[in-house]
Amino acid sequence: MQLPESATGTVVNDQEHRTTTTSHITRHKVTNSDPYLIERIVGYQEYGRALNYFDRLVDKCDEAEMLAIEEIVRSEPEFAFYTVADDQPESYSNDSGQKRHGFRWITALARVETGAMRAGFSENRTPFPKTPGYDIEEYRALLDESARLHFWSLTRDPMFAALMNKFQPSSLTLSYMRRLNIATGFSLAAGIASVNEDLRQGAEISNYTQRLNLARSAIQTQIAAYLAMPEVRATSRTVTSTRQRLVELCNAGVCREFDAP
Amino acid sequence: MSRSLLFIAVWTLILSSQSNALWAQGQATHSSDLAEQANLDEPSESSSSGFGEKDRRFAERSIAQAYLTGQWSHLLSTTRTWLARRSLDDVLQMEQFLKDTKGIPFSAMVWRSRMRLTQSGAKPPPPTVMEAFLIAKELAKSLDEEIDKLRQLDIMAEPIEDPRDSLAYRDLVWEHHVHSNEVNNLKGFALQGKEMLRHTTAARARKHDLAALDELAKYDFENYAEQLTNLKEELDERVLEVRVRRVQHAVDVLDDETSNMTERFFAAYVIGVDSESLVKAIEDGVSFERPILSDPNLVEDLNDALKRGEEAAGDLIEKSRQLFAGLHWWRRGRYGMGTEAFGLLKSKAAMSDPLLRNALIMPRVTPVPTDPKNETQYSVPNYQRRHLFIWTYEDRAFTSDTSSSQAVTSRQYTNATYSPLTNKHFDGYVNDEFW
Repeated sequence: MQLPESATGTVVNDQEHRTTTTSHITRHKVTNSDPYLIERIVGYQEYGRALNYFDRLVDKCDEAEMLAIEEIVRSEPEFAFYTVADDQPESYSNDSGQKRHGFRWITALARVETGAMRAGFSENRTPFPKTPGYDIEEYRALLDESARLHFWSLTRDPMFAALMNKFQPSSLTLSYMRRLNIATGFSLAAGIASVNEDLRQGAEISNYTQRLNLARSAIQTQIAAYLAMPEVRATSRTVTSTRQRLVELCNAGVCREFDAP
Repeated sequence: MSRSLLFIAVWTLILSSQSNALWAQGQATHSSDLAEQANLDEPSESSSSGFGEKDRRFAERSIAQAYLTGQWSHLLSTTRTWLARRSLDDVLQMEQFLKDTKGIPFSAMVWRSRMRLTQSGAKPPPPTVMEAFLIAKELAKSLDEEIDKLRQLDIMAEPIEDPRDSLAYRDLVWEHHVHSNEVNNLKGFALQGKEMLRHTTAARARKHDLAALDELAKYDFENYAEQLTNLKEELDERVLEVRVRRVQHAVDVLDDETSNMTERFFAAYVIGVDSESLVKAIEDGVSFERPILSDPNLVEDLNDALKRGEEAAGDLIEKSRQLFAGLHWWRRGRYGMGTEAFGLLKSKAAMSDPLLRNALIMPRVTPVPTDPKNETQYSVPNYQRRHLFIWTYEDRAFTSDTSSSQAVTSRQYTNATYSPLTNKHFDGYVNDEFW
């Protein structure tokens, strides 16, 4: 800054240090499932309608008619299915791994399939409703089979073990959570169905339920913690600006002079 | 015997609504990545100079491999390039070579690839003259074989033999439903063939295509379409006759108090199903060739028989309706395949369209379930238990929302840096020094 010759005072730098701090807060969430997804699952509508017809039919039929229905169902190979054996022989009843072919078996299968869909894809708190009664044995057997199948395959699934070991915020975790829900639904329903039937079996199923619930709550806790804890990141930037100005001290009267008298 | 409803019409509707994009996409993908992945050869670059070793290698390593691995668009695009430089004689040698070595003629590979692509929603470009020749050859052969098979059906015998019981009646009527769909499909192919020939003219032919063009003139797909129309009419009329006889059989069963309950269930179902639809079908028919259907008293007799059957069946009609409707829906739940997630899900559009909600791919023949312990390649049904697989479909995901905020702080300092101090008075601090 060039001052005029007669100038008095001084040049000062006015410096301003402006610091901008930007904070980024990342909150996690889980997107909602399509509420109509269950309707898209092949079998939900179909088995549901079939059961609607069958349950009303059984309500009206006498013994002779039920025998005829049984014969009709057995005359068609497509109405047969197999119960799946497992390599955990102590976990399976003696009559597992067999061909099932009959009216009560097909209604029980429809109940089990629709129940599993409700357990995995709806908020229904009792996804496996009680059977009207005529197929209670078959329903119980299939619930039991399904509970064991899900439990044992989860136990042996290395991917599931890895997820339980270290939480990953991925769709795979959500899928396994769904599977755990289905497995727990089966286990609970099988436990209820086997009450007063077979104490050993009941205890085994109860053990499954406890272990599945432990796994579920472990993942639930991890998910809840992940969703509740936001990630915070902050960055700062400082900009310094300088402005020069003349500070006039004397001419402002501070050091004025007087002529001699 | 097939017992499952087909929704071919719905499927055709869905598939035909898709665009050329699939084909274009398929072309691009197959011509680069897939060819590389599959290590496929490019066709011979040489112009037509006989069917040689290079062509045989191309046939085995490119065409046959693409066909066997389901790379339909790649097969068509490489074939197209090869055909562009080939004479009819070369093409016929390729036809024979693939038939001898792979058991499938060249024409069948080209035709089936085109058909599969079309079924998947793609629209391959119109065939060249040489491709049209191959397609026409295979299509005509298939149509001849299929029409011949249809003419050999039990229901086409003269006179139609009475089925032995209600179950056999049911099977015969169901078979007609399946064959009727087949005839419709075949007629569709015949009309496609006719359209293809209409567009394959001398104007599009190159010099070496002329022989193929002459061959093409021998095919008459309009005639096939006519044959199939007549066959469909005859099949429909014959099944009406079977249904008329079935009503009489059902009434006899229901009138007979000693008949077993299983037979009575079927009989009651027939009375319930045919009480309206059969009479209406006969009333709607303009004229019939079959004598039994031309009887002027038929409708009256039929109505009387149905009324008698209804009285004899009582509430068994409703029960049988519930039983067979239940079995129908159970069968769909067990064997139906959706369009998404490897058949486990129906399309999203199905949620707003009831017609699409019912559209499932069903097996064409009666499925016989396989024992999971002894399964070799395919499981019947595809999923022994749906609940063991459906959980793998996940529509949820973890996402993150990031919000940002800013805070600004500022500090100010004043420093004296320069002073033109003279002898004049000045008092004050400059750089911590008093002047």
